[in-house]
Amino acid sequence: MLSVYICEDDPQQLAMLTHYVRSYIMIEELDMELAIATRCPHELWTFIEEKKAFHGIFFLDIDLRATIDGIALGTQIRQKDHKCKIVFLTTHGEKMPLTFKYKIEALDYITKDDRVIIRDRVRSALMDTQTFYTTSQSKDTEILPFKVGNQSRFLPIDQIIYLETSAAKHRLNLHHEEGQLEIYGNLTDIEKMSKNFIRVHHAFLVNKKHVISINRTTREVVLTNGHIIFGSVRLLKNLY
Amino acid sequence: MLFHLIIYSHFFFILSSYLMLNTKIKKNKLLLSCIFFLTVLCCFIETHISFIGLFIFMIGLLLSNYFSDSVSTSMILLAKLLVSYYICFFLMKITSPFISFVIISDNNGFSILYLFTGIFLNGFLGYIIRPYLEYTLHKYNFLRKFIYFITCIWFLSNCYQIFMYLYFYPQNFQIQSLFIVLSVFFVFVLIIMILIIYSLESKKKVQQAQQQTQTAYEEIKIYSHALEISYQDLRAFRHDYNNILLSIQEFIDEDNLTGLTNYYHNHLKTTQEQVTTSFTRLDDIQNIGLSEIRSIIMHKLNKAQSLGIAVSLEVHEELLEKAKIDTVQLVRLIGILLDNAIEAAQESNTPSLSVAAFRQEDDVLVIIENTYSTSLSKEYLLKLNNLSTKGPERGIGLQNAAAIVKQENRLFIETRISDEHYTQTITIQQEE
Repeated sequence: MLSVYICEDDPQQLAMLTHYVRSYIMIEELDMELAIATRCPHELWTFIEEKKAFHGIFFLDIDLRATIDGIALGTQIRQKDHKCKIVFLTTHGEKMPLTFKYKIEALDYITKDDRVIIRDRVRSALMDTQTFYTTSQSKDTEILPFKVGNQSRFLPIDQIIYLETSAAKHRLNLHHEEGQLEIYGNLTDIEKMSKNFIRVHHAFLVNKKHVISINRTTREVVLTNGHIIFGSVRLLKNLY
Repeated sequence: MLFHLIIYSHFFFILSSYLMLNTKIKKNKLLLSCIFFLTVLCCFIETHISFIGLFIFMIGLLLSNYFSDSVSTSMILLAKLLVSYYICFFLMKITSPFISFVIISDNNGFSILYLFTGIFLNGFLGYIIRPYLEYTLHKYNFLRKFIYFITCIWFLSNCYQIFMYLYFYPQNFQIQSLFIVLSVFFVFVLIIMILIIYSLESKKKVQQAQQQTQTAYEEIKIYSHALEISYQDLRAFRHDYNNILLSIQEFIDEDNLTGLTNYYHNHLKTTQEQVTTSFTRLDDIQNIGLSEIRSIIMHKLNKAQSLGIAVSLEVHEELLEKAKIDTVQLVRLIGILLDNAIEAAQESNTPSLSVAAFRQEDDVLVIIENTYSTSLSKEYLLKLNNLSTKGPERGIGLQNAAAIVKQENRLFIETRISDEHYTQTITIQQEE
């Protein structure tokens, strides 16, 4: 059973949201319940404080007319549970898409100007949450945790294409399906994290699921993102 | 007299090649007079106690230059001084038979010839070496360490030499009066030297302050320009708003509800989008503490706006009051990434550029997101997107960014490419 949490300071909009959520849970026969719908962020926080994981979706207004705003509340929620879904309700002036997406990793944000849009977005948010929880529970994805600066982050190992040593000390360049980033770590430790990681060179660690072809004479390995890396004579044999 | 000049000749030689190496000195009259004073003093000391004169001369030259020059680093000054010293040293060593011949012959003509050729030769060598010196120092890192090493050796060997000299020839100090005169003179000159150095340093400080006010002025100019633009936007909006109210009143006066409904859906609904996009939240810029960072972001966003790119900025909390990294490098990095973003956004069908900054755990994240041309595929960009210098395919202007990140161990950059957006993230580690 998943929970839906709503925090919105305007009573009319709160009633509207509650109505939409209730009706969609009924219509789509979702395995969800409306846990709390409140106007006060502190009330929401005391309600969820005891829980370890929230298993559900939050609808948060940005301007809550309280000592804490929606973003700060979202940050707190995210710190306790990185899996739950958060959707922000904003007016046009408060819209901060990048902050929502990258700081809170919000599922979506709904601008409060058109009832039809709000209705549709609430529905799709509920559906997305349902599918996320059902699929993520069924399969055990391997996850690589790592540090960037002081932040702890993680990525599913399936999405990682390869890692290479960086020019800076104690750092690696991690290439994944959508780009690349620098992380702290060393290849020897990460190699042990999954059977899919193969060391082809003292400076390269590839995910064997992402290897397209190997040229044995030139010792080049072509990867799914188009990058070509070099293997060493001794270590390249691990890939065959 | 000429005989004395020959004894001091190495001062002139060193000075001539050093002046050639460091051309800036010629413009600074105060420094020139200081050097002249120094030379005279050292000549005097050298007559009585050799080695010490040269020693004081070198150190005085270095100090006075260091305090008067606000641009060069001590390393470059040291290098120039050492090079001129060793040019003179080797030339003297090579021509030592000739020098002894000149001294023994006691011929004024020969002495003058020797002095002038020496000065000319040293100056000429300095002139030749000058263009290569800074370039090689900049290019080869190990040379810099080597310079400090040589300086240490030079200093120690000179100290040793002076010590030995004073230890083995105490008869030089038998004339007490000379020693007293010398020390009084020395103290006197020292005071003057200190005064000159002090004035030179205060001048340097004034220059730096001037530079700072100059940059602050630039920032204010950029900011006021941005304010002006947003004020113009606001005025245009007020004008539109009045017109809209008037036309609505018209409909209400006529009791024409269907007309009003049509008007609302056909005209007003469409302006909503405009209002929200033209009023970008650039006022958020005040939340960034460091003025350098503020001005680079402001500057680039203004540029993007003038190129017709939809711009937005999100900084919802106060951050970057101070950075623990070199802000110049951070400004460069943000500049490079924003330039890349503007360039890419320009070629897209719906050009847009968003910048966000926020705290995450103990780090500050700066995110730059832009749209890119539809003629480029995600796959192609991913292939290009390689920060490492190892691959044959190198990133788009990213090498510079990578070089900065390599230098600053508190910076991390990340690139992410989705079907519509190209996102660059800078992580600034504030605490360790």
